[in-house]
Amino acid sequence: MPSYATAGGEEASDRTAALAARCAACHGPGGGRGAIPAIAGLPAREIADKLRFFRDAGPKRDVMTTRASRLSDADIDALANYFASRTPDRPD
Amino acid sequence: MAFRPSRRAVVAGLSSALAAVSARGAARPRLVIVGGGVGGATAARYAAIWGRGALDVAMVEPSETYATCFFSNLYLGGLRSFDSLVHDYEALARRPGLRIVRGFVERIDRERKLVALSDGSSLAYDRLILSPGIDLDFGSVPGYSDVAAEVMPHAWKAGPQTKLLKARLDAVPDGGLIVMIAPPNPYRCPPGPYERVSMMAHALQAAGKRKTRIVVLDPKDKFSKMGLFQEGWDRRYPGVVEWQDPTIHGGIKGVDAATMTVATDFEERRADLVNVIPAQRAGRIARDAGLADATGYCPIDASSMRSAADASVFVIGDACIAGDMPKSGFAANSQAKVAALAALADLVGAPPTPAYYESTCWSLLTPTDCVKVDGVYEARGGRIKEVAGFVSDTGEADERRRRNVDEAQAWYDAMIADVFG
Repeated sequence: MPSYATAGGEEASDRTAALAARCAACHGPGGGRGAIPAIAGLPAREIADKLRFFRDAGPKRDVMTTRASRLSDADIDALANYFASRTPDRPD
Repeated sequence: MAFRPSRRAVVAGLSSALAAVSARGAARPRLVIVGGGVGGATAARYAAIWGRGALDVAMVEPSETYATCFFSNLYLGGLRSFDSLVHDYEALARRPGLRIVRGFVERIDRERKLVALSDGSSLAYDRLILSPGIDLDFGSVPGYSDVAAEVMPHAWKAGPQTKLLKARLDAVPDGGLIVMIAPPNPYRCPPGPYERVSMMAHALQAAGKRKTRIVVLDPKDKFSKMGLFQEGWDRRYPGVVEWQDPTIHGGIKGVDAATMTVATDFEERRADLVNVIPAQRAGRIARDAGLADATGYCPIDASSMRSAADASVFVIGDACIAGDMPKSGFAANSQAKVAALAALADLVGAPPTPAYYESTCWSLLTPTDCVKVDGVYEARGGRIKEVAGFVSDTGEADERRRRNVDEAQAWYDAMIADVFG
């Protein structure tokens, strides 16, 4: 499990690791490429804004819209902090 | 000495529980993973990452490489090389705490918690993750067998069969007949047979074989993304594909590889290519271990992928009964992460983490027209239930379908890195 700061301490970090692993299925361990954009290393604010957009107003029949639909605000902030602290060459 | 989780660690999260296990030194917990397909390799990779060296993780797989079933239809369609589907375990083998054991699993002794290999050696486990994939039930189509499959390929496990089907497809003469016998539910990759039909039709079109026909004999009266495929066939390959449900063919009586004939209740036809995709069930290893029920697949706990028959064993991927989830590579990857985290939590005495599941399947109708089905799933009422999802719409703009192709290609590379990287 990577180390990173989350508001909820360790319980939250296990949950974040599980959530972040979902993202890797399409974005890849180090962030995607081509038609699926890279997310590792993006500013946390940008990631959080995008996730909230998909959750609250995402286009129909879009993979990100269904993925974000089940995320809480705390999940989104934790994921944003997690991916902001990653780099493509240090994905784990 | 058997591993016992410490009571002290039970209240902590996974990170501190792992640290506590490491600090104890002796008796590192042992996680064995059987199967190096998408499910098994993902479980091994994540167990190694999340276990941070506090566990012994061993993955048993007989082959040096793995060829993905997903995207193998694109090889049939001439859009990808076969080699682009093949991946090795070298990057995984370099992961600290992960050992790749090349071996063939003879049996699993659940009482003694041992995985016995065909070379006489065995591996002891504290937790076991099984990802054996599917076995084909050759007997489900009268006259079909592993020998007949050398003439009438199934190509439902990527490898030599896939190459054989491609060679046979390329050899079909213009004006020839291709017959596919589609499988009954439940089976690996629900849209797969119909994407295959699309890619075969594309290959025929690209080769200028305009008079060749593809007849699909289906034991089902409907199938995944049916409206999308039928719209695509009518639009892209008019007059090429004829799909028959049981009310049309009256029942599939059997095949004869010697005469290249297929018999239905209605007629007997000689074909230039016959692709038989038989009924399926959980891989032998899981069935022999007594983990499957009367359906031939393995019931699991929806919140952890734990076997309903054995608390020390997890069954993931195509072999398990995953509620609303399809039998897909994406689903196996998703289930593997849930199982790896649940097994780790068991082994170090950490509390369980919520299970998240998802699957998206992209299917190509042509090289520039791709449709998709998507689902997000959660454990609800003891089963894995879809809580969000969509299917592509009929009549969508060409541009959107083209973007789906690009998305599918990017997904493949990302998924491979997430499984084998």
